[in-house]
Amino acid sequence: MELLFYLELFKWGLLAGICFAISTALTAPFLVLQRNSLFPHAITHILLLSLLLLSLFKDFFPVFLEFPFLLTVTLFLSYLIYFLARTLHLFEDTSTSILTYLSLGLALLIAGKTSQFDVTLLNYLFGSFLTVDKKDYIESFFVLILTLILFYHFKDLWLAKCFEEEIPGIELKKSQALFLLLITLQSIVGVKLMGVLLVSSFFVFSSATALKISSSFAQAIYLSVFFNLLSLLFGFILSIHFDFPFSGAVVIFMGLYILGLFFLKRS
Amino acid sequence: MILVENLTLFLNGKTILEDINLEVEKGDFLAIIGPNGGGKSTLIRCILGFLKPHKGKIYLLGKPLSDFRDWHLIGYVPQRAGKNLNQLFPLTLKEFLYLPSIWYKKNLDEKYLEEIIEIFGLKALINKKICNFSFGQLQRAYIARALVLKPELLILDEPSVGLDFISQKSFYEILSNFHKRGMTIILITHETWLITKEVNKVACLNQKLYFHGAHEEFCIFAEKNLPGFDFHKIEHTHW
Repeated sequence: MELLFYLELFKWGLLAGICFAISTALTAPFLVLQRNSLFPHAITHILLLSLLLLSLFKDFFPVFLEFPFLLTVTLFLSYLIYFLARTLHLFEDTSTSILTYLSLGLALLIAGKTSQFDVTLLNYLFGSFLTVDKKDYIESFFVLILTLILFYHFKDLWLAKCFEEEIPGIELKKSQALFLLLITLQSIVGVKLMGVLLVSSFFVFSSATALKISSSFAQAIYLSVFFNLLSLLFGFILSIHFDFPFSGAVVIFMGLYILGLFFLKRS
Repeated sequence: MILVENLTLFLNGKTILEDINLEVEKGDFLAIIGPNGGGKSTLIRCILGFLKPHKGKIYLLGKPLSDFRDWHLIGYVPQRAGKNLNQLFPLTLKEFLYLPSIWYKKNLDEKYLEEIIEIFGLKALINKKICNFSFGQLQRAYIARALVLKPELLILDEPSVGLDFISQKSFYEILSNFHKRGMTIILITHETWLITKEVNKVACLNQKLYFHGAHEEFCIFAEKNLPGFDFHKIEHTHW
């Protein structure tokens, strides 16, 4: 009875979480293999700035324009990473760090000056299962469908990009741009659930574990989906049972995968 | 097979390639040699469409580069192949060798694939993950992959760097056999002492194309124009 009550209460959070867990599992292994697993982390810090900017103009924005606004601002700021890298001849991880800290710094200034050091900011930072509503679920579902379509069409090129810089006659740039766009979209829909600080965990733990123990790439994808869903489920159960914050519970559970890898290595 | 006309390329305000004219005919085995930074790899990257030259025209298999679509007919092994390979990479050699057929949407001739695997001594590794391969095994895997779709033209950018002498020797013997079967090969190399008589043409590139012609003519050219160049070894190397 109690479980049914919680399921009803967190229905949209769980559904959005399932969509988010599956969609990130389909892209995360590529991200890890491209040695770019900190990219979602950078995106989420940039996203915090976008969220705080949105909060400034929220009264003037219709609800349906919030998502496009977040996407546009985040993509523009993410583009600056590549602009900076190209213009100043910096490594991409250097320009990523610069943009991340600038965004975070600016976000904190805005939060300070607009008195948003409150529950809203905490929700942005750590996420909240309770605040996920039907609109968020629909956005997550849309991102999952887009992920499935792009995965079907571009998975071989995303995989190629993990170890080839150039292939004669094959356009890798377009598929890679779509890949990074997808990661941005996934980060945006995951923030409400997991928070800015921990959303990128869904891109790392499961896929790294799956890649480590799989004998083929296809198996790694299936395992990555399974591990992400398992984390979501146990994170949910732990957070209810022990009254933990959901995002923290998920990440602690994911930590068990890495512990498992240690035991596997020893045995 | 390849025609390059008046190709000029600038990168970051520097002239990298200047007025290059090069013709590779069907059945040629061309060695491109020259100093580091001389533009050898850049020329190949222009020919393969990765870089757009500022001036000049490139024709591949009789078609202007912009109209060329039969990329499966070209096998390519880049410089330092496999350098980006992550230790987590769960791809088996078999999956790796099938990649070109997926990229170019062409069916693989299974019998030919088996032959390639045999030639490169990869049979025992076929179900192993390539992330655990040694450098030499990885090089062989990359070259085998470049051959699986029976290309008419094979382009190799310093493929034997890092291989020991025995591996280099067997590698050049394999290349030689493919050339004898009629395959056109372009090889960028610094190991001029390993270029055997199988190489029938040599191009000497250092921003400009200083020489382009038959192997025998190159030996005479090198003796006159490249003091200190060990051309005798090129002419007389036998294994």
